[in-house]
Amino acid sequence: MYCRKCGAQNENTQFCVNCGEPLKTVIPVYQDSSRPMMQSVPSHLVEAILSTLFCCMPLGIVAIVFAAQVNSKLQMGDYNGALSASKNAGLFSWLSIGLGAGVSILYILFYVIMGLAGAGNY
Amino acid sequence: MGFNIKILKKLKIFFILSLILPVFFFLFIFDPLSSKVYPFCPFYKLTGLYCPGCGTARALHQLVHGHLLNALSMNPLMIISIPFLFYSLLSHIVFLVRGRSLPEIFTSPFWGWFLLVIVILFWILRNIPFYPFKYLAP
Repeated sequence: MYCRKCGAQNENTQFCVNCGEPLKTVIPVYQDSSRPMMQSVPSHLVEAILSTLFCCMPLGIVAIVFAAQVNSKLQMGDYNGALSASKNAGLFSWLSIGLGAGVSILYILFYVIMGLAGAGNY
Repeated sequence: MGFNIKILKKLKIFFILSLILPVFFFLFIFDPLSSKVYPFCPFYKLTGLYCPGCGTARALHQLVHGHLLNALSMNPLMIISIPFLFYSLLSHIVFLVRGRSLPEIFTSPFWGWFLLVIVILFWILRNIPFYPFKYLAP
């Protein structure tokens, strides 16, 4: 890695051996351009609402908590935190929606099959 | 990469749209109050308490029959959320057709936490079995 300040070549050191400049990988800070960043991290709030009010609830509430964290973390400049909250919000929403839909479909199928079997007995 | 994401998004929207009509048709035909085809709410079955989603099937059945007030009495929060969910779906469709989504609403961090508080309050209050709160129960 080359030092940004003086151009000296360094091995995996934290500071430049020549001038002492910190060599840590630069994490971009978005201060002026927070709006475009905001749009690039989906909060999955809609899926969270959907999973809470239309499916089974405990996972949905977890999804809402993560979804709410996304925009808060973005506003604080914590881009990576927002990304992981977004991933969790999506995960828990779809887990909840999938479980709800899956159980419903299985239940209805089971009901139909039992109904057919019952009709055969009478 | 971006190309794949767009196709994935398209598939997701088509999947959702292809589900909505059959689900509403099913809800139109079978009344959750009298029909046994619908699964019970696992939370209600386990605890005897209503969850925020209890009454959704009954409310949607009333809604597709045009009885808005009956629908509201079953699950008011879910009915209130429908316009917002519809806006979001519309925004996704507009994005796929025209490449630009509708203006984003509720981008402020406040709204997520506000919703969380509303849902938890709704969950607690609808389980209180007397006068003003019993209207929140299904």
